[in-house]
Amino acid sequence: MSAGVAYYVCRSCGLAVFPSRALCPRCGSASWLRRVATSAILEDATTLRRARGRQLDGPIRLGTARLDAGPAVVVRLNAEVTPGTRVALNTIGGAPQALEAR
Amino acid sequence: MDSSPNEAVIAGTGETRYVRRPGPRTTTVSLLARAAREALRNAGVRHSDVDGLAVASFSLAPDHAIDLAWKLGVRVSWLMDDASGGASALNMLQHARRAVEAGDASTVLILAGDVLEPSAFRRLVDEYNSATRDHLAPLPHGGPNSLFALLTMRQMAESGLKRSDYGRLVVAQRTWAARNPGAVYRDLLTVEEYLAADLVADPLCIYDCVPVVAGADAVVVTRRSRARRPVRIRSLGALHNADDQQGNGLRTGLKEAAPALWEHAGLGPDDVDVVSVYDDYPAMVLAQLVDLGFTPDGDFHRLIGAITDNALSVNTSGGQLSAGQAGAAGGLHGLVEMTRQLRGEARGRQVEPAHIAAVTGYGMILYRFGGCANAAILERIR
Repeated sequence: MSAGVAYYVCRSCGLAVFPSRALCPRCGSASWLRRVATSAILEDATTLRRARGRQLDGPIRLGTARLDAGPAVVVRLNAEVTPGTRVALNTIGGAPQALEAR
Repeated sequence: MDSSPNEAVIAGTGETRYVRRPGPRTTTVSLLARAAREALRNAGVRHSDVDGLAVASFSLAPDHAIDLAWKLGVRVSWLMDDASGGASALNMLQHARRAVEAGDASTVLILAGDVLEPSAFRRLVDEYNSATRDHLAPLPHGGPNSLFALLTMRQMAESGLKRSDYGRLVVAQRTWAARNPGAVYRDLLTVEEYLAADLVADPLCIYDCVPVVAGADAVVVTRRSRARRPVRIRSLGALHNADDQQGNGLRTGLKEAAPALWEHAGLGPDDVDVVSVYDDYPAMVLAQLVDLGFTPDGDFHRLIGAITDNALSVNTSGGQLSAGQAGAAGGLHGLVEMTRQLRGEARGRQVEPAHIAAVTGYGMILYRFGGCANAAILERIR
């Protein structure tokens, strides 16, 4: 597990994106700064209850976390966090997680 | 309008039976071949007349368009592999039309179809693109349903729509499907049954998610001089990667493409008799109709009322939600249905009059929502 979620800021114009891009959609630059967000605002949430072609161990809570820098990240919610609140971010096996309120 | 004999028109369509559980001998190529034969017969075009081929399929690999040309036995001067999912039909039409008008080909067969077993479907949704493989599959997200559940939450918050409003839309499409023998789900549905159905990803229930089927669709594009009962492409517009996935997904590329689309057609939404909107989810039906200007004030409730009252005939095959989604054929399904309506071939569900149709394509989830959007305005030529 690593703390936070990595996102990218254009060195030229300052646009923040997630996931990474090759060229900046705003200015066309190819030069990025890697940044890590440790918290975000949870905007919405759902509970996935079934998925074609796979057996779920149980319902999976997912949501959209809005980084302060702007980008939206789809995260797994491991605690009873509710939309509209600030959540702590981590990355486990490449998957962004919002484990708890912050 | 171009009325020269070289004008590219739609001359015929084909669609295999859609099936939920295909037999072990059903292959993608066999379905594409069946749809192709039906479309050529419907168009009155000979197999040997085909000199252009375009195909979209998630399950054709490792084969490509050239392998398909070989297996279908067609010699072609124009060839296209398309990978634009729900936008593939209109993307192929956009290119095929120009190829015919420029003389690169005279008769193009546009095909799409898939057979996706549950394990193949899982691989497809987990490895849809690199962003999905790297950032969504590890969650796991389980495919697009969870992403469009979140998008629907956002649309509900923005518009004040309730689950029952989406239910009315789903019920209206099922009512059309009851009149389409080609739809996999034809039993009438009530809003009460919709609200009581199992949830897939809140707020989406089983009726909000397309049933995956095996099947294929086909369209023939040729010169007007060669076509019987041709359908004219009055305009076709697209805007892909409209917002770099920086928006909320509630506005599609159609929002910006719509003014030129209507201007080139010389028509407006009020002139349209029948509409096919890419319906991977009910929320996207509403989003695209709003983007195209079918409810100028953006009033979702009035739009749903117009659909349920049949003031606006939308997804007359039952749409993918009731007829089924045959993978990459999901986009071509709507173009086939609108062509059938305009040519008076929509038995049991024919809209009268049907002079002008609108078709949309949408899809290819880049990260949180679709990155492709296109639309065409079609006209019956007497």
